[in-house]
Amino acid sequence: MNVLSRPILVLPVMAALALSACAPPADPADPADPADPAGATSTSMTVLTSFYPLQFVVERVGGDTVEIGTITPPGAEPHNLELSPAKVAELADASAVVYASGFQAAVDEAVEQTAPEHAIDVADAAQLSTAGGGIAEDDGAGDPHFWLDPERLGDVTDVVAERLGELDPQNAAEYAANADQLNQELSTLDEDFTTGLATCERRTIVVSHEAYGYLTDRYGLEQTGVSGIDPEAEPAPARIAKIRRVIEGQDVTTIFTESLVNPKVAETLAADLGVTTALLDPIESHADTSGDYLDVMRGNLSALREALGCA
Amino acid sequence: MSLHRRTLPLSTAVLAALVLTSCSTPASTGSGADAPASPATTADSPSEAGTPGADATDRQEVDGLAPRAVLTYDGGIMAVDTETGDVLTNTESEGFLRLNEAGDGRHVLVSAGKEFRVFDSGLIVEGHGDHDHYYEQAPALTGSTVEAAEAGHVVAHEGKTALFADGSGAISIMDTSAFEDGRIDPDEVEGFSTDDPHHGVAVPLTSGDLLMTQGTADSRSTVQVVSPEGEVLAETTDCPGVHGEAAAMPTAGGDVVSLGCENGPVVYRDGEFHKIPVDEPYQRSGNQFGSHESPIVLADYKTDPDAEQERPTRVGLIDTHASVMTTVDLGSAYWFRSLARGADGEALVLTYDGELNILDEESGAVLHEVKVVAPWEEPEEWQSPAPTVKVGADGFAYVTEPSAKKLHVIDVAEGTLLDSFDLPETPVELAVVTGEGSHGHDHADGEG
Repeated sequence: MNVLSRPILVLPVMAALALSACAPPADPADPADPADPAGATSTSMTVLTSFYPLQFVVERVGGDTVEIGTITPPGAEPHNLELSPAKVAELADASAVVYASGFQAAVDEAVEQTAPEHAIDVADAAQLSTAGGGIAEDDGAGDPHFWLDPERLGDVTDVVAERLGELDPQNAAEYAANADQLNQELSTLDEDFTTGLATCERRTIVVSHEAYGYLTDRYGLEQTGVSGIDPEAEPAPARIAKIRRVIEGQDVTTIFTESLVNPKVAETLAADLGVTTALLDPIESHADTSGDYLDVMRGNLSALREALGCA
Repeated sequence: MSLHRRTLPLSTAVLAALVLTSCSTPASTGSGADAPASPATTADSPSEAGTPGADATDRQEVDGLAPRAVLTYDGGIMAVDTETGDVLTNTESEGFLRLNEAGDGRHVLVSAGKEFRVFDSGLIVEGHGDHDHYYEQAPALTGSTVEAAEAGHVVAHEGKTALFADGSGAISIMDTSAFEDGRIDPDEVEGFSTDDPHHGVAVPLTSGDLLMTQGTADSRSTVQVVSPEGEVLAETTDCPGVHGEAAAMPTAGGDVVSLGCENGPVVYRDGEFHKIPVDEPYQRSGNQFGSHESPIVLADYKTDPDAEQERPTRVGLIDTHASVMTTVDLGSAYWFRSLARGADGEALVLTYDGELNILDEESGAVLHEVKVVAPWEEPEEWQSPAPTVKVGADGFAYVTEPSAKKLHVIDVAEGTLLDSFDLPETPVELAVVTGEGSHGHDHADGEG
C-alpha cells in the first residue's frame, strides 16, 4: 500500500506547535510578592481556571489575593483538551476550580473525579443556549461561547465572586468590589458594541467557525458559517465554488477567520470571490499576551465595524 | 448485474447465461442463511477481522474535508483527494470489485465475490454542539467483512443499510451508524432471507418493514413488503425480471420506492404497489436513480427484448407520486454508469458525445450541457471501463474518463467543469464520499 499524505496538512499543525512552543509557559502569578501592598491578604487561594475567558474573570475578581493556574495551556485549542494525570492531580489540590460544564469533556470528567466541593461551574450563570437560540438541553450540546456576550460574562463574574467569597470569606468583600469594577468595564464594552454596531450597511457576518451566536444575538447580527478555509493552503476550484455557494446572494465583503490567512490564500479568495479576510477572535484561548479579553473584544468590534460598514 | 467477474472476456449473452447458472448454484460459501421462506433467519455472518485502517494514529484535524473518490481498477482500489488529485492510497485487490456507499458518508462497501469488504475513506466529521470538527486519515480497507454468497446490491436508506447476497438470498441489515468504527460486528446485523436465492435487492423502509424482491435464478417477478414478523403487507407479482431500484421523495404515507420490470416500472407508494403505464409491450428501466428531494426517478429506457446490447438515447423520468413516466431523447446514448442525480434532484446523463446533460427532472428541460470527456461508447462487457458519473453529498458531479485516465469535477448547479485530475490506473467503478451521509440511493447496475 502506498500512502501519500498531503504535505499541506502538516503545516497548520506545525504552526500550532510553534505557537505553543514559543508561548511562555502559563506563569501563574508570582507566589507572594513581598512588595505586595495588600500584604495583609497574602495569597491564600489557588484557583484553576479551565480556559482563557474564565482565567480573565478570576484574575480580575481575585486580584492579587488568588494564585491562578490554567487548565488549557495558552494558545491551545480548548475543545479537545486532554488532561495529563499531573494536571488532574493539580486540579484535585486547587482551592477552587472554575469551569463551564459541557464545554470540555476532559475537565468535566476530572472535576467529577476529584473536586466536587470546590468546583465552580459557571454554565448556569452563562445561560447557555443551543445553537438555534433555545435553552441548552442537559446533554451539553449548547453553544459554549457565552463570553462573546459581555453581559453573560458579567453574570458569570458575579457568580465567581460569590463562590470565591464563600470559599474565602476573609476576602469576600474584595472579590465583590473587584467584580463590580469588572462589571462596569463589561457594561462599557457592551455599550460600545451596541452603539458601534447600531447603524451598519450590512448585518451578516461570514465566519470560519460559528462561535459568535451570543454576540450576533445580542447585537442584532446574523452569522453564516463557511468551513474549509485552510489559512495556509490555496483553495482548490471546488472549494472556492463551495464557499461561493455559501456567500452567494448575501451582501458580504469579508470572511472572518480565527487565525491570519496566508496572503496567497487571501489573494485567491479576493480574486475569485471578491471578498477580503479579517480576523475575528473567538477568545477560546489566549496566546497573545499583549492584550486581555477586553482588548481582544475591542479588536473584534473594530473588525466587525469595518467589515459591516458601520457608521 | 452484480456478478463478480470470474471470466473476463464474455459477451453479454454468455454473461446472461452465467448469471442464471451462477445464481442457481446453492450458496456454499459460508452462508448460514439459506433457510428459505421466513424473513427472520440469520444473515450471512460478519467477520471478526482486524481493523488496521480504523485506528486514529495518522488522523489530522483540517478546516474542511476535501471529498474523496474511491475507484476500482483491474487489480485494486485507489482513493483520490478530489481537490488536489493526490492518490492517497492504492491497494491491490483481486477479482472484479464493485463499490457501494455504506451510507454514512465515510465508508464504502466493496462487493467482492463472497463478501462485502469495508473500506474507510478516512474522512471524519465529529459534531461539536454548535459546529463540526473535521479530520482526515489515510484511507484503507478496514479488514472487516460481511460474508455474502455473491455479494450484490447495497441499499442505504434513511439510516439503515441493507446488503443482499444473490447466491443465498440472505439480507443483512444494519444501522448505517454501525460503520462508524470501521467494522461490522455480528450483534449489529439483523438477518433476513428471501425464499430463494436470486439477483435481488432489499430496501429497509422507515416504517421498520422491509421491501424485497422474490424470485429464483430463473425468474423473478415479485416484490414484497414484509413486516419484521414476516407478514407480507404488500405484494406485486407483475414485475417480470425485476431489476433496478430507487427511492424518491416520500409521501405522507411513507417511503416511495420505484423498481424496474420488463413491462414498465412498478412503484411502492402509500403502502401499495402501483404499475406505471408504458406504451411498449417490453419496457425495461433496470437502472434507476432517485433523490430524496424529488418525486421523480431517473431511469434508463430500453424497449428491445431481443437486443444483445441496446443503446437507447432516451431516458425515462418516472413521476412516482403521479404514476406516470415521460421520456427525454438526448440524441446520444448513455449507459448504466453514466446516470446520476444532482443535490437538488437534477437528472444527470453523460452521453456518448462526451457531454454531461443536466436536466430539470420535472420538465425534462436541459439546464446545462457540460463538455466533460472525449466521445466514447459503451463497452461490450459491463465490467469494462467506461465513463462513470457519481454525485457527492457536496452536490458536485464526479466523472471518470478511463480512456484518458482522468477524474473530472463538475459544479452541477453552475454547469461548469471545475477541475480534472490524472489517475495512475484506468478507473472502473467510482464512489465519492464527503464525510456527510446522504439520504438518497439508487441502483446503477450491470445488465441482467
